Amino acid sequence: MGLSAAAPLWGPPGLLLAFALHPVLALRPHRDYCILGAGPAGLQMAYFLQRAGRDYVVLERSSSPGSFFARYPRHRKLISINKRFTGKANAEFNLRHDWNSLLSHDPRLLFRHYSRAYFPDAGDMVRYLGDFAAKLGLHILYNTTIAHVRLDKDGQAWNGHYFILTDQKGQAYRCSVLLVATGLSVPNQVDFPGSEYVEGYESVSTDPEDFEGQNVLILGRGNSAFETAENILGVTNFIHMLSRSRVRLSWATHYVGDLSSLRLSSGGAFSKKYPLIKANYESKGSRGLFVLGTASHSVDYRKSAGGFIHGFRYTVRAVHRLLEHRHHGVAWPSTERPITQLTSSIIRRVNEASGLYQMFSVLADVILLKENTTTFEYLEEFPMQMLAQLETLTGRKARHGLFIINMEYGKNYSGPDKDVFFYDRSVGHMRDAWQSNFLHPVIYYYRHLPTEQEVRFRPADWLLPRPTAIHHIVEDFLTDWTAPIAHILPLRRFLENCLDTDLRNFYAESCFLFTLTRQKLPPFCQQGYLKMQGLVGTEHLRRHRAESGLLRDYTATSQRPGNQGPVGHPLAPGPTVQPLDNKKREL
Amino acid sequence: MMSSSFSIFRVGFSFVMMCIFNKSTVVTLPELSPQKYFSTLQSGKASLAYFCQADSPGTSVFLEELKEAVKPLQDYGISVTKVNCVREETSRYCGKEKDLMKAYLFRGNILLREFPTDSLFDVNAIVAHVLFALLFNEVKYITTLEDLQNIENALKGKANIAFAYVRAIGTSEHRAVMEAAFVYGTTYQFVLTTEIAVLESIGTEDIEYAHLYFLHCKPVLDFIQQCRRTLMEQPLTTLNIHRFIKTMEAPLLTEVAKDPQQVSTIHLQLGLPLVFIVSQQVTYEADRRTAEWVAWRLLGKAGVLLLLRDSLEVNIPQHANVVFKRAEEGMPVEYLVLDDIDLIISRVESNVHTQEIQEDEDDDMEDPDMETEDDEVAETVYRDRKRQLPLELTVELTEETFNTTVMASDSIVLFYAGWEAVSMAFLQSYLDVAVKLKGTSNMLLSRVNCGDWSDVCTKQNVTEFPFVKMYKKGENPVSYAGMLGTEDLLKFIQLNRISCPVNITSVQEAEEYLSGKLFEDLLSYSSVSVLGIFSPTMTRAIEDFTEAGNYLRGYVITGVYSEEDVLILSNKYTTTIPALLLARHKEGKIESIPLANTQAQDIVQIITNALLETFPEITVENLPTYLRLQKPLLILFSDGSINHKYEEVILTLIKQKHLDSLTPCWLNLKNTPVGRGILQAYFDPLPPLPLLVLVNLHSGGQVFAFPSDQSITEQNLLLWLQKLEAGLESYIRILPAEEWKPPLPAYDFLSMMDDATSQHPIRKAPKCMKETDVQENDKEQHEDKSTVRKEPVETLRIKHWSRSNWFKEAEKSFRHEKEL
Repeated sequence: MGLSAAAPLWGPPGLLLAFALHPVLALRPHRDYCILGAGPAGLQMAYFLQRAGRDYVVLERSSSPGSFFARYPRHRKLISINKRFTGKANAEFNLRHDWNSLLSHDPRLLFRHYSRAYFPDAGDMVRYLGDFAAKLGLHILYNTTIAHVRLDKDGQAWNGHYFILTDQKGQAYRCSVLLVATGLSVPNQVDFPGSEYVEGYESVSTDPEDFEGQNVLILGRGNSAFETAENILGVTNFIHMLSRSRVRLSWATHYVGDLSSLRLSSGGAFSKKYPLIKANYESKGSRGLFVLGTASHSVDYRKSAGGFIHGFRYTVRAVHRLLEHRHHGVAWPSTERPITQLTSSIIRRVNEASGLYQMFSVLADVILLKENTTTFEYLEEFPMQMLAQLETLTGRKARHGLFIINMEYGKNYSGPDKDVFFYDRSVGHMRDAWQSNFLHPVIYYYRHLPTEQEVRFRPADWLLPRPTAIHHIVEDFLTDWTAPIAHILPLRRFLENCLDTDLRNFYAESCFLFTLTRQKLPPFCQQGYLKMQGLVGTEHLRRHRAESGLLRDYTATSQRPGNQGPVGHPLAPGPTVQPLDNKKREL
Repeated sequence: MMSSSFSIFRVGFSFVMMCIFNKSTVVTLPELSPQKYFSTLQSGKASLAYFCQADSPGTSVFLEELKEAVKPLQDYGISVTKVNCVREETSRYCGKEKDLMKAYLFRGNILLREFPTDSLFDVNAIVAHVLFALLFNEVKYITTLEDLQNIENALKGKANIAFAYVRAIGTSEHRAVMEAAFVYGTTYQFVLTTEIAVLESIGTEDIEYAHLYFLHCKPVLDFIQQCRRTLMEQPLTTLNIHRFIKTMEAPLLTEVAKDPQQVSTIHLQLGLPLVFIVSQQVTYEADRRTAEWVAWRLLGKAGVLLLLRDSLEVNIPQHANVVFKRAEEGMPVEYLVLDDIDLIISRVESNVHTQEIQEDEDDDMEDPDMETEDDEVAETVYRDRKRQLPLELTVELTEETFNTTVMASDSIVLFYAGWEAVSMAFLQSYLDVAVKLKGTSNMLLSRVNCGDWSDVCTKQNVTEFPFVKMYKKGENPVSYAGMLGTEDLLKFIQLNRISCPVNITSVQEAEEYLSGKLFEDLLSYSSVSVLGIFSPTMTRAIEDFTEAGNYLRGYVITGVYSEEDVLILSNKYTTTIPALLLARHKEGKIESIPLANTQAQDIVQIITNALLETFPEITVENLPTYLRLQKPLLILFSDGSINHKYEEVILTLIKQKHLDSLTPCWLNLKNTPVGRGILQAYFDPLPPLPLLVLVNLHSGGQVFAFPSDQSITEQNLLLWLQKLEAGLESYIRILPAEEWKPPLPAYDFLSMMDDATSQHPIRKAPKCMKETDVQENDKEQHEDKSTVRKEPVETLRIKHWSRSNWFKEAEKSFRHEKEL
């Protein structure tokens, strides 16, 4: 722009200059964000960048998205389940059981519309990814193989350097941020006498007839090995399977990379297989280079689902939110709510949030308390290992204490060779909630944001530094944590004791009484009733209240004034109740 | 709470002295001349007489106390008289003019004691002194331990002793002892001391308060043997002493062979529990010894019985060795296995829960309170869960139908969540609105369950429950911000039928609007109509007013008139434009308020203030609006409608601007029954209604009461208010300023986890474990779990959490990692 405006002044020489400059620029188009690979992770990142109106491009080696799925798995059946019906309408909750869809605002772009099979065909995935890219209009350059990446130091650049990418035709691209979503494309080569006879998974025949009457030795006992074995089982003499470790079944380890009831993908020497990245998915070596998707699995390898679509769609979102703040000053999205909504905000998330559930113990919700604890900010799905840097990474302040909401398995629940169906494995009573084995919500309370030191030197087998207090919501096999006594009440008591306040709800009538008989009001009355938003209640509820003894029924007492009756004590802020016969009623 | 206070009442009625107290008749202090007085004395009857000059001032405090003492003394057969010394009839008791006035106790016409009035400082002192004088023989006053030992020795084998220490003669404890002595003085020897040294020498600790011992001297046959002592642990009151002595009289140990459920003894009647020691033939002797031992230790606290299992017809659980029966009626007896006498004692003393054999699996017993719902909204919603709600009156919206529905018709949407108690409570009010509007409104009432349609709620920016939004064609959605109740929501919906502000197009229409004719059907929802009048050129002012009207939509009717002929209106209501015209329909008045560069926000303020009444009936719903004025409340509590007379008084004072610094209001206890709860917090006992109270809510929390013996007149009230202002009135209450703390503790999982790990070798073992080890460890841990479970639950209060603990932990683990 500047150049062409200046041109008339300079006359012909200026024009010449402009012509001379142009090819240089064309040689190296600049993009703020370059994504390598149009697989699920690349597309997912492209989607978020597009929605945020960022300058980005996806560079893809092949001619269509999801080329991995065009070739793998060799036997075409995906091991990620496609549970099309959960019995619930909640779209967020349903993503807990949808292992194939990418996140988008368009409900038509859900994988269940693409396949009816429980273990869907890989071809459907290719079709789905193609639609995802096309319908959302993502910017993808196909048939672009990046052959070379180098760093170009520049003080002006966001990260102190640009990434200069060169493709197979010598075309260069200058990128401020490089997002690598290429997956793991190098097969694990073995080297031993006779290894020349080995046929790799990437090239082995999928036609069972090729193995008719043969003795087959399969190296490895991962998903690919079993997939291959199952395919040729009917035609061979013997199949031997050999590996360094025993068979791990995913329902025993809760890790989908292990065999999900005798199926699927990859396994191998960890250190060679995954690049070194930090908990925010940024390369340890070069700032501004992020690893997304399957290759980012090192962050939670063998712990959570970050190596799979149903996991990395959330970690990609987290990376995007971090980038939005780092480069565009957009703070991590949050909502500020009154403290009276604290219990229900947590209950809502633990019951429906899919990111918390899929990326348990990797992404966690963060609640930042505001001054005087009258309000709080709710941040969703923050990479919990980055907790110490929360303020700088999100642009939110954690000055008055915070809660972390995480999902966890019991410490002794899963692992190779453990019988997950052991006797007495489930915990039924909320008092024993801390011994819950199945995935359950755990809430950490910190008075101060932990420091990096504290995170690094946390006690062994703790995910986070030792909190001021911790709460476990007792496990529930239907992952339904809405029972008033078993789930909500103990949570409220925990929150109350952390905040040192009374978080009970009150009807307007009670607030009225408190207003005129006490100088202070509980938060619910303060934030509701006093602002003319009290809860009035109906006649039915009033009657139940009188029966429960929680508030004296003043209408029923035909007491004459002056005649002193037994005065109840519901005025005290302390316990106002008589024991009720409702123990365990919903269990 | 209820049941225990009942049992005390029951006890009271079975109790001679209480019966005397309850025999209440209105007593006055008889006044006689000396001659008349002496002529009424009956031989053998005691009487207390106070001699005073007929018109002497300054004795009224004593007379008040004396008047109070009339009834209790009468109950003991002692009459009380005020004798007026008149000039004609001099009596030697009348004394000289200056050092007047003593009280004299006579039996018949024999003088027993004379009391200077300063020793009779209150009713307790009067009763105590009089009884002390009369019961001279029954109650021995001692000053040394030797005295006590002499009495003990003299009574061994003959009678028991009630020995009391009180801090001073004439105190309420002294009175209680004397009253007990009046009843039991012939049965037991009462001994009284005010010397701490005596008590110290018999080994009592903590002698801050009065003490009463029962000395069991009657059973002592051997002279050198000491009398057993039982200390009464309750405070010294007449009722407690009675109860204590009753239990001393009861047999120490009773043998029964009846169903414990059927057994009753004096202990139960006195509100004390029963402890049955289960015995069988073979161990009878040992059991009896045990039972006796227990009985001594529980003397005065519980009744102890020996239950003979062999001759029992009903079955009791096999292993049970103790049966516990509470005094409260209807409580089932508890069968216990206790292998330590101390457990029995501590169970009685502190009701500590131990494992009950009938409910082996039930280990929830330990914390009934923590696991009991104390949130009234959650509790009531839960209790109501089985009732079928008429949900069909509202349309349930889904992800698919939401947008099309709110676009197609004007809709109110309630966003709620099934597990959120407040929104479920409000859903009921919402359905009530639907019932009331059925077939009359073109507003569609719909609802979205955010538990099902989370995305819909998120897209509508709903992050709190419950939430109500109104969607109208061509307008931005409006969030409802009123009370979560039927009436206010109904008002909001009805008033939203018209636009806000309404555009008025002619003077005639404006008049109809102001007279209330234009929106007659809405007058019950908005008692005030506001009309903004502007000239057509005042665009800025019109904008501001429109914004204000929009803000107030659903709460008050507003209209705007800005035609050329607007001067007709401004002239008629004698104002200059721009202005607000406020039509108060109830009073039929129209006020005008000029606007001059008034911002929308200030217009809202003007209108909301105009909605306030000068002397409103305060209700649960409207109190917050009046509290915003931040003034002390002057509340007239009325049982039913307000007396017209009082209303006049207050209105007059308001008119005279005497109440400007207050918010005068009244409360109808029929409409607002919870007002009784407020009165109970202010008054004890409650004087008759009506009551006029000034509550300083915003600074200090003092409550002042207009004297109930004065009538509410302008003059009295004004005088009272002036005294209040001058700081001459004293408050009757200061409202408690306590913070709202957590009602109950929470589970302290952190320390439970600590305990569990500290019992475990895992951390300590400085080597990698083999797989077999893991399994073993695993097993061990599950065994551990079951033992851990029986321990009392740990609870937490954050302030007690020590940080030092965690530093140690962290250090340990850090070191451990290094070793690895």
